[in-house]
Amino acid sequence: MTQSFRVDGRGRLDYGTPMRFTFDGKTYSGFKGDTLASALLAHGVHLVGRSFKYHRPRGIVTAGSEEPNALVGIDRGAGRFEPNTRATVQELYQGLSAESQNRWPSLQFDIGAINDQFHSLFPAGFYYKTFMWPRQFWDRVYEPFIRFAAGLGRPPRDPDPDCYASRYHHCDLLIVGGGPAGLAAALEAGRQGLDVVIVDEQAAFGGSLLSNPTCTINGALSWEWIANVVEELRGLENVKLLLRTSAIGYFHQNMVGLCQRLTDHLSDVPDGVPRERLWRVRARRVILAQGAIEKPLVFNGNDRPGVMLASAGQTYLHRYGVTVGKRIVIVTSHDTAWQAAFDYANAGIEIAAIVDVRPEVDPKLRAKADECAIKTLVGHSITQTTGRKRVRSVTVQATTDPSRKSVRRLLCDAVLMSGGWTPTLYLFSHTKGSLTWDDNGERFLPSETPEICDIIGAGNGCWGIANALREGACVGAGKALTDIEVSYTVEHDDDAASGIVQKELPTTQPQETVRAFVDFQNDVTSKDIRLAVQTGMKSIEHVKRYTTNGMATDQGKLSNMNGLMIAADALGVTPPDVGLTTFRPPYTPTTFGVFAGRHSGEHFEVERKTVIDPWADEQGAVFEPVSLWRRARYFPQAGEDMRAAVARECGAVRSGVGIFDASTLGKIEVVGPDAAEFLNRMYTNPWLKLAPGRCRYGLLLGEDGYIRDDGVVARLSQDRFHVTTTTGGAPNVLATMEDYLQTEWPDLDVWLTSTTEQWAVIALQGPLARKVLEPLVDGIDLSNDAFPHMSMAQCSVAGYPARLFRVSFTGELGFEVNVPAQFGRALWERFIEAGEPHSICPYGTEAMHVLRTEKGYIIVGQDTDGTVTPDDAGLNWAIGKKKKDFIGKRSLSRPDLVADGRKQFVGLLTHDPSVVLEEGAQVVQDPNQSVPMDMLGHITSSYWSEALGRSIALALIADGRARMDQSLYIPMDNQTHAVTVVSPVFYDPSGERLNS
Amino acid sequence: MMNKGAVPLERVEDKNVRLSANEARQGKGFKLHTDSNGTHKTLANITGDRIKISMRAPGGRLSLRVREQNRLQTSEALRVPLPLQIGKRKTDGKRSVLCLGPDEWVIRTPCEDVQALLQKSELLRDATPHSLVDVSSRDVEIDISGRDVEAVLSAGCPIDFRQFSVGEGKRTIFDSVQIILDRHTDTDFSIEVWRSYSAYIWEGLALAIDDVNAESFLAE
Repeated sequence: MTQSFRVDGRGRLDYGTPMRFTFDGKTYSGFKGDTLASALLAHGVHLVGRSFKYHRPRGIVTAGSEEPNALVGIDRGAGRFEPNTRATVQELYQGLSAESQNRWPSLQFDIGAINDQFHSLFPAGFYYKTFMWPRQFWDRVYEPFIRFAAGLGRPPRDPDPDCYASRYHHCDLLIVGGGPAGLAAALEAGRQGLDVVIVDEQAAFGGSLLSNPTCTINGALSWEWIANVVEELRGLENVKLLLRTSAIGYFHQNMVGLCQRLTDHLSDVPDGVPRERLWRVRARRVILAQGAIEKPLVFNGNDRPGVMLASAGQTYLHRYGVTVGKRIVIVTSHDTAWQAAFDYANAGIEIAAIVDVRPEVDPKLRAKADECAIKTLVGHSITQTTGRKRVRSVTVQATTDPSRKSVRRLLCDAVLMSGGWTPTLYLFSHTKGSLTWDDNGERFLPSETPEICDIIGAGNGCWGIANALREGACVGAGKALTDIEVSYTVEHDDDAASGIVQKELPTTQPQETVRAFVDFQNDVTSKDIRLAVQTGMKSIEHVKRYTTNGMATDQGKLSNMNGLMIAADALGVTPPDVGLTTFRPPYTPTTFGVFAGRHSGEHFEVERKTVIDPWADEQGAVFEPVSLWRRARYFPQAGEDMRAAVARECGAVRSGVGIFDASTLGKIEVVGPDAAEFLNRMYTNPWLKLAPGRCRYGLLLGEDGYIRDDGVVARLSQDRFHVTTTTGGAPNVLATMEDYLQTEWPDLDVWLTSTTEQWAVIALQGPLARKVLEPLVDGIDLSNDAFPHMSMAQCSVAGYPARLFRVSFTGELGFEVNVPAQFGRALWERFIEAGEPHSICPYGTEAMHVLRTEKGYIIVGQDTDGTVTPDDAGLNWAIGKKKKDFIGKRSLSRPDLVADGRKQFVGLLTHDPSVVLEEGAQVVQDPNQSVPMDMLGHITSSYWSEALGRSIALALIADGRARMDQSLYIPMDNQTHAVTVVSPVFYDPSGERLNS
Repeated sequence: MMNKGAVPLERVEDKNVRLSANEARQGKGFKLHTDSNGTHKTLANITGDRIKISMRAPGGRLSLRVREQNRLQTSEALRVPLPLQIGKRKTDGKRSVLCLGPDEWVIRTPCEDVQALLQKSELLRDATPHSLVDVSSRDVEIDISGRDVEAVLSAGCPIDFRQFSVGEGKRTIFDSVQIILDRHTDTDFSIEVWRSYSAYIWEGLALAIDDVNAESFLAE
């Protein structure tokens, strides 16, 4: 196809670099510098999509990121399909492949368009009213139907193969928007030597000047002026210029999120180059120079392909060398669209007429129109348009003429409309900035903001290039508007622009046939908004939700103000009384990828590993995650499944010796003269009299009396304790301790230091543990008498400085050797070597769980759930009875914590010893009771015990200890299992083995 | 696979190989280097014109906590100079001390010095309440230097480097992991991080380098 809508001698394109692309499988051509939208328009293609609800044919409306209609799918190859890309933002690249959306089977012929024929059946609130009943239709009919019909475009299914980057950045001044105001600000601030960042979402700086090549600034044509300014800024080391960068959110204390699109405009991207980069910029001061967005007019048939914003028409003409049509009608209530008409006329394009809704316009404009031989219809309104897939004609009528005498039909292939301008206040609103209603301009303007933020140019309601430049220069220099020497001389400025704000345009068409769209993307018409008000919606928030006006991906950039004017009219109040909805980040649609940044794949989340982990990996261990750590779960030998491996590992511990990596245990060194007093207040147990060289099990409660954590604590000396915590609980315990220390007991002379990673911990467990350890330990008698259970010594093990604990989490004779982490693996390998004659066996967390379950040792977080008291868990022995106080003590006498019926920790044995119950399964008394049954409790731990030759389980059961020997029932998926309640200590209840 | 162990992760040293972010993500170019002690053998690993990253050999490191009224006594008894301002570092011979909080310092000193300091601390404890804890093995140190160093660190660290003078150190984060960042010269930094997080930090730095390297391509 030829680019028959190109205009010779116009545009900022690189005409030497032609590019080919496809849209819906058809090949087109364009030039470097085009957007997908401009390249399609160059071929006269306006129809690019179907609307969301009615599947009406839709065309390109804008030339920027506010585009509501021209949403397409872009396919960059495997895994790189992106729906809902705005064709007006997507830069053309060689080989670009795009497809239209929301149509089936094709854009030209769409079955879904049947909705449009029945549009009167689908007014606002249709879903709310219709799908209420019958109730049973919801699951099978309504929801599937709505799901099928909902959504725009097809979501990508594959993992995103692109990479994304992120950076923090600090600067003195961040300028959002690189139009005349922003550039002038950057120039002043940059010359002052401030660290400046200036960003623009477009591929070039210049903003509105890019679409206004005829104006001159200080004698230079606008494009030349832009080039000079950008060159100067690039020459300043303290100024950073970011193009294709959208400021997506404005957060507390001048933190602004920027999304920089790095490669979406390139056809060949080397591997490893990030697609987008998220900047988190903390700026001392922010200047918002985002300009204004033109408003559409709301008239019958305003959504036909070919009906566009007047400023977009100017942009396509000047920037992209494209005319939007061959015979154009201008319809407007604002002066700026007249300039669009003049620009087109100057380019030799036929203007069918300028239709201005206002009763009067500036005589100078009329004179200029006459000069250009353009027909003007002032005081006229559009009442109708025709053309299914492209506008073919408009019908106009004098607004003062209720008869239809003045009706006339104008043939055309494009309509440029302007309903005036809306200052871009989205980011300003993110700051919780307040807006004021400007009665003269009938618009909201920025007022107060808690941030150090200025808003300049059209965003501040400042019209005209000279004014914008001046405001930019003043604010950029940090000076008052009256106090600046810089002056700009601008010729061919557009500062005369004025206009009036409209609701829907008057029409004499029968109301039932009028389809005047307010929100193009969500298919909201003016009638919908009036219906919402009629239905009783008074707040703009309610109107928005009832009609979905402004809820599409464009966040109502084109529709909010028109919707507001209509709602205000329907309610009979002023627009500020109706108010605006809340703007939230992101300002424009943003990829999930850029938010994830580097945190995908292997780098998604921290995976902590011990120093012994590589050894386990080499042995083929199977790992499991435990909080952020990965831990060896079991060490399968050839042909073994988990059960076989765990049975072997458990057997080795019970009959010989096992070795276990316990390095992940949390460790806190508590030091200071008040260390014992501090622990005495934190833990339930008594600490004051614990002798150095001795250990004690410690139980930590919350103020509510429920178990929070536990662990063994050793006293190293009078003022120094080595506290261990659960693997997952370590950070919380430290934070809780620090919290109490700083807020409750700041008088205590005690300090906490996390030593979790200082020490590698190797557990040797089993009757032969002493035999492996003894030869490697210097100067300590390890016999049971000299070094009994719960002893601790600082010594040397295999030549490494060590803290040696006689402790056991298996019920066997056990030692835990702590050495500085850097020696952990070496010591581990020494033990493996030294233990070889005793068939030492590495075991993982699974065997550890079985062994401790056999002994009825709880694991906080598995056998407790945050509602378990020491008494519930059978741990009353761990409470210092004579202690006056400790955290949680008072709660332990709360009526509900001492009442009967609390769930208590017990053991369960299945009647069928081969059945291993499911953890989490419910326990009931009577399995024949009708559903819902009375639940007595649940299984907390359940394993196969090789030592006992049967399954075992731990459970929390109401009044469990009073139910010893009772039969209870566990309903599981296929079968209900009978169990007997027993003591939770299944193995060696007398504890002989522990003390051997 | 990458992440073979906590410290012993390193990137193959080969100036001709430039790994992409995807390759880095899949762990290509990383391999294990451990000696029999389970510690790292060679540590100088990412070597480029504009950025270098390497593991520093293990050193002695102690956490000191003491109240203001006992600070001077403790400093004198331990013969350790204590900078008074948070973020400032004082160096005395082989010892360097960084102030991390109103009552918190980290002392970097040769390994063989650690026991002697702990013994002095033990003698001092009755007269002057304080806490001195050996954390030599808890953290590892990553040296990072070169022209691009601020850009690379900015990928995961929210610090304003304009406000971070040579000779200062800060407790901060990189990729949400707590680190202590020291600035030695304009372009020389070191990161002190808990051992098991170091692989994640290393990987994050490698990905950040890919992003910084991409700038030269994108500038064209």
